[in-house]
Amino acid sequence: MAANEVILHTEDLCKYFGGIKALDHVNIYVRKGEILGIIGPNGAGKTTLFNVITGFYRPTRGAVFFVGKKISGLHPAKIAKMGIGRTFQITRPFKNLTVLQNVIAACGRDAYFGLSFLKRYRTPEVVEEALRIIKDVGLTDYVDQPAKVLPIGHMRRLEIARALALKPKLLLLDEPTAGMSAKEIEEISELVRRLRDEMGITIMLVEHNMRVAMGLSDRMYVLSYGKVIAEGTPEEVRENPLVIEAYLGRSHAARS
Amino acid sequence: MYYITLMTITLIYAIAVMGLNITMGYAGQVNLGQAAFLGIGAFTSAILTTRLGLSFWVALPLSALSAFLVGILLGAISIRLRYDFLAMTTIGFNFITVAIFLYYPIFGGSFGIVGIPRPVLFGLKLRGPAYLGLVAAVFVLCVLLNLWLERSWLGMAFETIREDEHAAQAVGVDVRTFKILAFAIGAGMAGLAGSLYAHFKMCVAYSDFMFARSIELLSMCVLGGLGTIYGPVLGSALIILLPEAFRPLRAYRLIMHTAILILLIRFQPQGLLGRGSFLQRKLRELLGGLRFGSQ
Amino acid sequence: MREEGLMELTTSLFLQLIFQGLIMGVIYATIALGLTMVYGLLRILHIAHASVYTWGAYVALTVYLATHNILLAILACSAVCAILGIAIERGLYLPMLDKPAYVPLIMSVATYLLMCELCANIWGHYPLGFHVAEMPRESYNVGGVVIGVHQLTLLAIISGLIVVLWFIINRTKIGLASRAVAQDQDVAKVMGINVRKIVDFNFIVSSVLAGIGGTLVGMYYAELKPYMGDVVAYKALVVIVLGGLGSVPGAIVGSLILGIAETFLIAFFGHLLPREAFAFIIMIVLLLFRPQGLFGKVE
Repeated sequence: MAANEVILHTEDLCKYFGGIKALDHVNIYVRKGEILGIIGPNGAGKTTLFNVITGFYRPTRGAVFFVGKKISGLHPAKIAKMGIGRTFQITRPFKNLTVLQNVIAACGRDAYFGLSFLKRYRTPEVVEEALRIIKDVGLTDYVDQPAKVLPIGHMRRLEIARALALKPKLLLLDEPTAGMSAKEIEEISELVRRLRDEMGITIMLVEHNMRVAMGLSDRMYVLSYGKVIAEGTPEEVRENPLVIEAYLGRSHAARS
Repeated sequence: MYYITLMTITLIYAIAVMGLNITMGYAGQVNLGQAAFLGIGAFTSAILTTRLGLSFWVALPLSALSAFLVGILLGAISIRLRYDFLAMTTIGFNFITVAIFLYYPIFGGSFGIVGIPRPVLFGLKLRGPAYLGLVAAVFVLCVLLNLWLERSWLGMAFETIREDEHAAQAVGVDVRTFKILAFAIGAGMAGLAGSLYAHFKMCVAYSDFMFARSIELLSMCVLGGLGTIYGPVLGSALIILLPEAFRPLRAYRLIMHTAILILLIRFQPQGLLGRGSFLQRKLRELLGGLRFGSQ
Repeated sequence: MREEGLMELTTSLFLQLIFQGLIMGVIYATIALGLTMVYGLLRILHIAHASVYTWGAYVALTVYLATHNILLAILACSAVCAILGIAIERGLYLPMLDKPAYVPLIMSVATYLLMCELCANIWGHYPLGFHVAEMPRESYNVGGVVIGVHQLTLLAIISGLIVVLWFIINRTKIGLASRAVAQDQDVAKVMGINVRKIVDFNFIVSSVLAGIGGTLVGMYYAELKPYMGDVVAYKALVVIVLGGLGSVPGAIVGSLILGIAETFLIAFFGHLLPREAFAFIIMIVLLLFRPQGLFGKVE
């Protein structure tokens, strides 16, 4: 069973865009081996949180720590190399590269730093590794197809595969089931559980689909207007009046 | 003899275009000032051999190096620039470089540098077919370089940047370093071509490297097919040789060449060997498994 | 002007430089306005605009030599330029809007070169004299500043045209529609604006301006050369970055600023850096640190 050590935490994290406080004094932590859900109404700051953690945004104030090291302010590529993988809310495949190439691209994690980039990338080891990951996410039929032909559900799988190729300790999934059919959602949920159970990857999950979020998460944070308004297990969060109010408005909270 | 001249100039341009292809076709960074790097290489070689009396064989790599270094500068500048701003910056870079060539006396002013010596190999002056041989050797070297690049992690990094910069970062590609490299390598190749150009024409002046020449190089690149290995040489061959086919109309050379360019770009903007192009499809049908594109 | 040391900046020198600068400025404006309008609408760098400038001048000269009527010449020039502008828009740019940006750029530059060469083939490679009887050539010395009547004429007419253009863009319905399309094409379409017609209109107006501008410049220098557009074509890029890409007031102000700044910099530092380099260095610095220029939007 996974240890309870904290692998990521934020300290008083703030991200302001001009007058807009996208993240306002956010303090969260992620325990090794858990599936942490981040939910909240639209515009709550969930994707901004991911962007700050992965280095795409610099925090206005505060810091992010990963396995004890301060990562806020580092370049995203460096953070990816340190072991944080992510998917994007709007998928960003390497459109004109094949599915295999997309995944191999992420296998170059060590080669991209220093002079190793002079080496050939299509070695049997790398190809085998990539094919294994592709099989894990269920995209074997599309191995040699250019990524742009994939339907949306498969594009999200590709995103996950790419993030997996980084051999991440922490995986950030940004709305991984958006636009999928019920069956696909079930398959992806299964995959996410397997990633945690079999590979020991810690997962942070932003989800709009409440059922998926509640079903997968061990623990959750609820964001609203950039602030953390609740924390706890899915059951605790579901009953929390502040959460209900944030989603449905004050009148509903009063009624329940 | 005439055909040898044509082939020599075609291959020289093809080398410069291959460099541009790496920057634009593989890494997706627009560069509308490649002629400036051609010029930097040419003038470096010219100055080293005429003013400092160095041998061509020393000047050649140094020309590539000087262009490479300036390419690093341009690459560093490019990091923060969005596509259209980058396009304009490279245009500005071309103009600035040419203005420098025209202004400082070391470059020979309006007349440039003349009397650039032919390379000497084992006591023999290389000219005509022998020079073509030299150029062809460098060309083959560049093709090999290109082939190796395509298969290496460096090439993979370039292509991820072209496809999606953010996703590239997310998989561990430090976009900043690789953008700089993309420009530097492309520039270095143009520098090589520049040196060969200088020793071929035996005189160079600022007017050989103006913005219109950058557009000519760009057209060869696009025409042949961006991101393909053989695109550059096909593009150069076409742009240089096709107007020659209309020999009686020599006076209208520039008109023909721009008109053909406009038509070809209009109807095959992905390039003659590019993805989905007419030629690529036909060649695929004819040759089955052989690959002409970067995939 | 290449000075070895610092020149003394007397008032008359200062004013003289300002005056020269203004003249260069309005010349740049004739092309920069069209460039910024087309960029605002289509996101294309319309380098071929300089060929409309050149052809306008040559057509005007031809008609003038035949009829000795300068007004007729200008009318003919305007008509031809309007047609050229539309031809470029519809024939070259519109079909290539969905292609990567370098495609219309290559076509634009190739078109510019093609048109200049055609000019040279039709009218000859050597400069053609353009002497208009009505153009007065006296100069007056006003308190140490040398002012030529022909310079004032150029300044006055082009400024007048610019004011007309400004008026059209800011005070008419069609100008409002143009600004709407430049800001967001889809929203404009939804609001019932005929985007096609607006783009046509903008091309016509800017092409006519460029053509008349070219004619006036030709009359000013009293000669035409096939590559006369070179001086302005690429500097105009600097102007539109300075003024803000897509901004008409920006292009006007930018042209004047660049004209004046260049004149001063060359006068005082002409011995340090080549003159052409100044403008482009300014442009690159702007693109890096303030890409929206003076009046552009931050995207």
